[in-house]
Amino acid sequence: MDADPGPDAEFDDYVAARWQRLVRAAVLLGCSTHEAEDVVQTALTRCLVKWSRVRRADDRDAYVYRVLVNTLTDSRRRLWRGERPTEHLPELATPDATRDVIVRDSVDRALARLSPDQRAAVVLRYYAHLTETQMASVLDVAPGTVKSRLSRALAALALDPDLADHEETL
Amino acid sequence: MNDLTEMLERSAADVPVGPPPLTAMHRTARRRRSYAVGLAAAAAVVVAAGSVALWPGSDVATRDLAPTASDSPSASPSEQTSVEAPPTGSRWVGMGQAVVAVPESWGTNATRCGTPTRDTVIVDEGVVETCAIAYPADTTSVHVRPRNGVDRVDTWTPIEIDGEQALRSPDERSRGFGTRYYAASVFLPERDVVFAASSSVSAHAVDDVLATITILDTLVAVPGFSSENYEFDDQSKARESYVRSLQAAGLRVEVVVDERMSSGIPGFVLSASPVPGTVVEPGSTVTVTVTG
Repeated sequence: MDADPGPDAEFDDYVAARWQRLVRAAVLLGCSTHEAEDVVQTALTRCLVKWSRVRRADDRDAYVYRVLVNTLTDSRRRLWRGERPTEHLPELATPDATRDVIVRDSVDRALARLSPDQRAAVVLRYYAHLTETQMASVLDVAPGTVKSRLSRALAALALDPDLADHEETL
Repeated sequence: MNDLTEMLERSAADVPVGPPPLTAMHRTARRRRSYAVGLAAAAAVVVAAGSVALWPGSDVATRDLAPTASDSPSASPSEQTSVEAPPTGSRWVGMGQAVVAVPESWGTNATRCGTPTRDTVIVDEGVVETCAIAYPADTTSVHVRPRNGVDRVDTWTPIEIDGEQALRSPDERSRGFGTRYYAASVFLPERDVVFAASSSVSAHAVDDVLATITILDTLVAVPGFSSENYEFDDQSKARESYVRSLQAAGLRVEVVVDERMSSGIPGFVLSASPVPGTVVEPGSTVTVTVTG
């Protein structure tokens, strides 16, 4: 019988396997590249502190994505609270140089037009490959709500001009 | 919708991702965990009063773990949020690491004949007088206890609490000597803990109580002693057995012998402070008063 590798080694293995995909999922959820790594790092650290709880969870991926989505929501809320009206903007926004890939840009724009809830539903279903049951647990909503969010999001994406252009370039 | 999957894959594929900052994550997690333990050490200030005898088995109690003020963890707001804490205005009460959050204003074992006299949590209740009184109006209570023979858990519905399998009883409406009250229970089979909530207010009040059940990661509830007092033919073994269960829970023990109560059986556990069910940091000291 294999010895228990211990929670730390187990966490390291989990992170090694999932880090890249979690960061990319965070980008698809609307983070900048840099912010995505920070958010995933924060979320995974929270999971590590409570790793015994993650270990007990039947479905680790669903648990970790739930923490990720909550961390993202928290960080957005903090950003919003930190916002102050000002006459002159302190700095100009500079376009992210890595964002000029056509395919990515069009997907970005299409996702950005969805509501945050619909966007999360699309990313969790079609990028994280969670089932609707897992998504209901991650988003803390009824399975029916997951279905309706997904169908509305898919309807919106089907009509999206950016994605239509993208289909042509494929 | 394979197209969408493919589009998302292609879109994300060129996102540059650095290596995972494992060291930083472990460091932060360790700091957060040790902050919780630091609080435990800060709380473990041993006050010797009266005829205090350190139990021989609890050699950990003889070590001076109390930190100086400068060792106290700096309570920065970001760190505080990582420490387990009950919702504002409530306190946790439970068995082991299975706890329920009850409002601060609730009593502990505020009962007569096993029936609440006001809003209360009931834990390690001990001997219940044989009498029967009506469940009072406008009252909600939750009893934390091991499973008993009346719990028909085979008919309960599987649920999950903090990733752990649990069972929930059907909602019940009864009359307790005239008062209508609502009741439901949650059972954690791995821990043999039942949270039995009752309320004469509404079924929602019962749900609200059961919704606060959680499994703690580091903190622990002070074990009860009432079963120890009656578990053995030789009741004097209660002290020894209770001290062992406190130590097994990671707590330090001080035994105080109450000489005034020395006419009967020695070693009978009279009280524990903090009272059983109270949630404390591991390493905290529990003062146990026994007959001499």
